Amino acid sequence: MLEWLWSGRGSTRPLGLFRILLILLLWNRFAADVALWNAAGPVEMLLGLTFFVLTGMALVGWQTRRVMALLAAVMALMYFHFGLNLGHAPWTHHHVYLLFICTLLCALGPCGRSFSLDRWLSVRAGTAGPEQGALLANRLFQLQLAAVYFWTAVDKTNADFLSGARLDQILHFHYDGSFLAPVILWTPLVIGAAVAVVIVEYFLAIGILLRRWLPAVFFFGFALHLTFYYLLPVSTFSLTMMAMYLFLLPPERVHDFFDRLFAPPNRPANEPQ
Amino acid sequence: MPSSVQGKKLFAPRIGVLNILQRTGIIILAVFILFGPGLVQVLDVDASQIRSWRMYSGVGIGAPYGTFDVLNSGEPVRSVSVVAAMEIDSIRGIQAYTGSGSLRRGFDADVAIRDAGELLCATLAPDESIRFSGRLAARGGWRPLTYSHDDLCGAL
Repeated sequence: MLEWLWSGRGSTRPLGLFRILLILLLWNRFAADVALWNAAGPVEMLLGLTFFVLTGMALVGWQTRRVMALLAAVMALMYFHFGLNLGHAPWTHHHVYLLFICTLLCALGPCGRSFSLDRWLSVRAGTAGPEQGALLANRLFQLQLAAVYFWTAVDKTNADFLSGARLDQILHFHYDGSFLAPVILWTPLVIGAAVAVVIVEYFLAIGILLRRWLPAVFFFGFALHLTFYYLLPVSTFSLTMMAMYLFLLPPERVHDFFDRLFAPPNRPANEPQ
Repeated sequence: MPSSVQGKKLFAPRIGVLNILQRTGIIILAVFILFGPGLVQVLDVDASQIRSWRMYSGVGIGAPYGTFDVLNSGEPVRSVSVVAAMEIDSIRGIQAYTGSGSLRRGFDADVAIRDAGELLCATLAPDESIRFSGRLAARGGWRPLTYSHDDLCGAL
């Protein structure tokens, strides 16, 4: 496994693209929480200011590696200190931790080598190297994805969940009294969904690390997350997980995709230049 | 000897140590990502700093569902749901009802049903009585909830 972690260099475009998606997710989740109008005091004001400056710089990709490391520290402060130590419950959720760990893993890779102001400045200065880098961060993202699926499946592997009772309780909490209740709370459907979720999560935990299962992993993974996102208030969790699927694709294919996307269209041979 | 070569020799061992430290840190992080949740989920280590992946494990736990039946001479004449009796829009509104914003802290279904029952009791005609039947979302499954007229209106 160690060899797999350190082996390989590849295109930095998946990481660059993920960085941009991550910042949009961070804004979606935290912008209102840390905006000036919501600041309870100078500490919260400073936290908000730091958050917006760092995320702004990370989005455009200026001083990207340093900024992402600082942003990871800010996210750790928000989750561990404000959330767990000071008891600000909304910042202790799974989706917040996932955003923190994604920021940290991003900072461990060459996240500013593609789709960034850093790249543009080096191209303009004539010092730009190829958009290639170590794939260590990509591998860590893959491990994180597999770990989430594995441990959440382990948590559901019990009679309470597999009998449908636990999912029934969750769905009752959100749909009791709704006009959709007769369909969504239909017992055979709930039991089937509970069993299917556990099977799919175990499958994804293994399939993520096997390239030949990739099409099925994408299909079942996206189906799972889109269903959760539509059915339940999961905040940014589903979208973050789906964004992480970028690291399951071969980096060179992502690179080639953008090459083709932005390539100038072929002009007819007889067209005047 | 040129100064640059001297510099290389001077710094080469330090770069090696940094590299080893960096790799050790990454290995620890990878092991933590893979097996950290197991400390909480399998070995029951009580550490809030270690993230488990128990999504939605507590959502809805503690929420009561059911109806109050209003009886006239022992025959049901109307029923009132928990949600209507508590004057909330949906069962999720119970979270606001607790004052803590969470079912996990400061909410007791037994107290909430008795409170709602007492409000309903105060509106009954002299020959009317009430009873409650429903269930509670509990860890390990659903738990039946039943309260008689005396349970709910005994204090009045």
